[in-house]
Amino acid sequence: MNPALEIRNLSRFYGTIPALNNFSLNFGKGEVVGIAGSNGSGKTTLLNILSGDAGGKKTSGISGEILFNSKPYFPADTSYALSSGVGLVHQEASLIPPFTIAENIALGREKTYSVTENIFGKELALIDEKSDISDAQTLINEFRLNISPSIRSGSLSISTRQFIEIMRVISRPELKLLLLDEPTSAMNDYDALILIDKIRELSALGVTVIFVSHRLDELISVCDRIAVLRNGELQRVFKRSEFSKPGLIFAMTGKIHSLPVKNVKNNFKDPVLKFSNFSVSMPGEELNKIDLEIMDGEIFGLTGYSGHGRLAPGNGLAGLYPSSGEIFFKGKKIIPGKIDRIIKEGLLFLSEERLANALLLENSIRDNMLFTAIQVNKKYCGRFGFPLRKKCGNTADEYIEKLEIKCESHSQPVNQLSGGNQQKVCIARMMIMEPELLFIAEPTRGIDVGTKSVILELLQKINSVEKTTVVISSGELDELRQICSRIAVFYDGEIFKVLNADASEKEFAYALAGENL
Amino acid sequence: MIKTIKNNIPQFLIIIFAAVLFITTLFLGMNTKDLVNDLVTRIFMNGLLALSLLPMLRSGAGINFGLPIGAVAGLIGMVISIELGFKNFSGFIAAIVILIPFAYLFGYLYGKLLNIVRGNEEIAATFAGFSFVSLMCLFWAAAPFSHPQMMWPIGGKGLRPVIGLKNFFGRSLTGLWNFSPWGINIPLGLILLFSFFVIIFIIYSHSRRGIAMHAAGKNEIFTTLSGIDVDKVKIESVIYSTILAAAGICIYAQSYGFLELYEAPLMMAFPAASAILIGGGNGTKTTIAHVFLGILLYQSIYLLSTPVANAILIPETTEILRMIISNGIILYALFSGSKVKYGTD
Repeated sequence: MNPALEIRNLSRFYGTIPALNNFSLNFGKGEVVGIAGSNGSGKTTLLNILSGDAGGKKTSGISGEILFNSKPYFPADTSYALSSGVGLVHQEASLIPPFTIAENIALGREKTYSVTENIFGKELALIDEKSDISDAQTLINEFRLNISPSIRSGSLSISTRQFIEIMRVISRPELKLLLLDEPTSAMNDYDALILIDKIRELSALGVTVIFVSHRLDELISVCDRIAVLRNGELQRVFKRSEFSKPGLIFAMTGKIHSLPVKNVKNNFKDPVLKFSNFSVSMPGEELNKIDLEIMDGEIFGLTGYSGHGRLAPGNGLAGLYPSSGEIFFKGKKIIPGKIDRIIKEGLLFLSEERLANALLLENSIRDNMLFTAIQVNKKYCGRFGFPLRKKCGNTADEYIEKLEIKCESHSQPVNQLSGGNQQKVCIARMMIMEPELLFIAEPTRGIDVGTKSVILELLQKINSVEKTTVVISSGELDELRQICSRIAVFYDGEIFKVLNADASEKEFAYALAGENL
Repeated sequence: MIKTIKNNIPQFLIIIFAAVLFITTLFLGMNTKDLVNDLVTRIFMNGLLALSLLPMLRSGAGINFGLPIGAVAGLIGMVISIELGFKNFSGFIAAIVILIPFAYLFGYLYGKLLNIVRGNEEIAATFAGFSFVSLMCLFWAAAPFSHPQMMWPIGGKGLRPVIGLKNFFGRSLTGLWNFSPWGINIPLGLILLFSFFVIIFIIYSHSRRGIAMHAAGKNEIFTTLSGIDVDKVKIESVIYSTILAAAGICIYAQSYGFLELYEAPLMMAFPAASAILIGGGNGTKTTIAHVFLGILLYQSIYLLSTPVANAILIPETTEILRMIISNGIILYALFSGSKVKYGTD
């Protein structure tokens, strides 16, 4: 029998960086295939190509072949994919808040009164609301929910909204391939079980399901096979008989043990930064009442899968998202968001959104490097508050040389630099301030492999030479293990464990999945 | 050169249009000297109003369509100066000094309002300006002024809609230190005062505070993370814009020779905004050069199109045609400006 979906050598490149590289896999009719992988491994890219979100083969950077029911298939947009029987449930529900549940489910294919349809045509026909509502009620009952289909969806909880989104996709009679992009990330265990039952039902009806999730237990319980992606490449396909959590985790994270791991010096004694009962409501990265102590002089890592809260401490500290609880720096309480005070105390935060938050893109390297220093530190200003151009220029040149930034001169706008050099400019801006503690988020995100190690060495140097305490939040565990002394592993908005960098890779793998070894 | 033209096609087209108008006046045998004299005066009497948009543009608060708020503060300054009996140049200086606290207060409140509607500043500013002008109509009618030359002649209560400045400080600046090489009138006093404001603005924009203001317009989070209170910086920029607008209306009124109250300031923002747009100003990237080029082009077209159209067309249609051309050009400048903003980035 022919497989329902055949993917051959599918690739998508952003410039020279592959988001998905030579992916080939067949999917049987009614089969449930799980896709597992760390962040940036290409899971969402695969689903976006299949659902038409990526814009079809015309989009530059996509190559390969897809056969759907033995016919070539390359959706240019979502409506083509939907009419071909392919439906995607997004990670974040995209309902229209002022519409009711029934209206959201029926959107675009509402039932109409046939009389009006004959007179005015399909587009202007009167909608048969009663029939739409009763259809929605049937679906709600199938999902064992206790809500009325006439409620506006804006007032629903996230997990209920996710269910409505799923109902909208699976209620299409033509559905043959269901794509689920982490549908359970906002659900509790009970809700997830309901969804898993539904997936089994659909599979029995012959619908092929591709199920992307970070929750390995779910994948193991419902999937027929699990494909593991890493760095855009298909690492291994597990059959049901081969399923094991450690095995999957190893395939996902790769050979961590092959990298040099920092020798731990455990002679750090004085806590310098302390989070106490600290919560941050950062959408998608909620943090729930953590307690954490970072010692003076160490390099400390914060890691975890995305959505588990590793980015929240820094953003909460900077006041970019509302937070509660207490933070102490050098024993003194600091108020999140009072950035001028925090900077004066010697604590600096560098955001993970380099292009959006950490650079003035049209301004010169010099302007960027010295902006914070000019504003906060009077050292670079003359008597009347005017920046000393020469001094600023000299300082910029000094750091360009020190950090080996490739540029024409300090007057070159930073938007002409590569990602790695831009990150160096950001770090130079921090270094010029001579901070006591540097809080840096995702320092190597979007940077090529060669420059990554340069950045890591630089952070190490700041720590050893300038005696700056460095806190790094990053999803790149192997990088953290190279330079940190201790690493806090976040799971589900809490710190699951604080491990020494030389702890076994197995221990890290389990901690990332929220399990004890 | 070709690249410069390619990036500034609307400005280039408008320059050609203005040049064609000017050449036509020569062919039609018009008094070119008068036109040039008029143009020089008009450029500098409108200059500060256009310049007043710069602080807000640079801080990311958009085009100051609430310029009438500043204009009202300027009118208050002038009316009080007249009421207190100041005359000539000292009357003009008194008006400028008196308007500052009013413009500061209005600017502060107006800035607070704009911070609340962050992202929709321009439309909020338009309506803030409109409603404030209407509110002030009550003030003009009821304020306890008593100078007979400002009051309604009949009844003697409330200010007149139009107050002639001839007996007070009309042309006190425009007439200051005038000289006429080759028969072209150069209002040196007016030029010097405008230059003074331009220099102050340039110095300010190179100060620490000025850099922070520009950065706030370009990237709010970046600026916040560098320890700067963005809300405060934005309010500051609105205050500066309002004070400059108030001073701008004083310069305008003394040149014009009349002071217009009640609903006159309503549309004051549009010529200034148009000038900046014609000059190629684009959000936070707007510079003094855009202001200069903009005023020059806008005023040239404004001044030259009427007599030309009068001479070669039926007089009745000239005003309509002029509106179509000048507003069309602004619309075109806006379109191509937004293409740069969203298309190629």
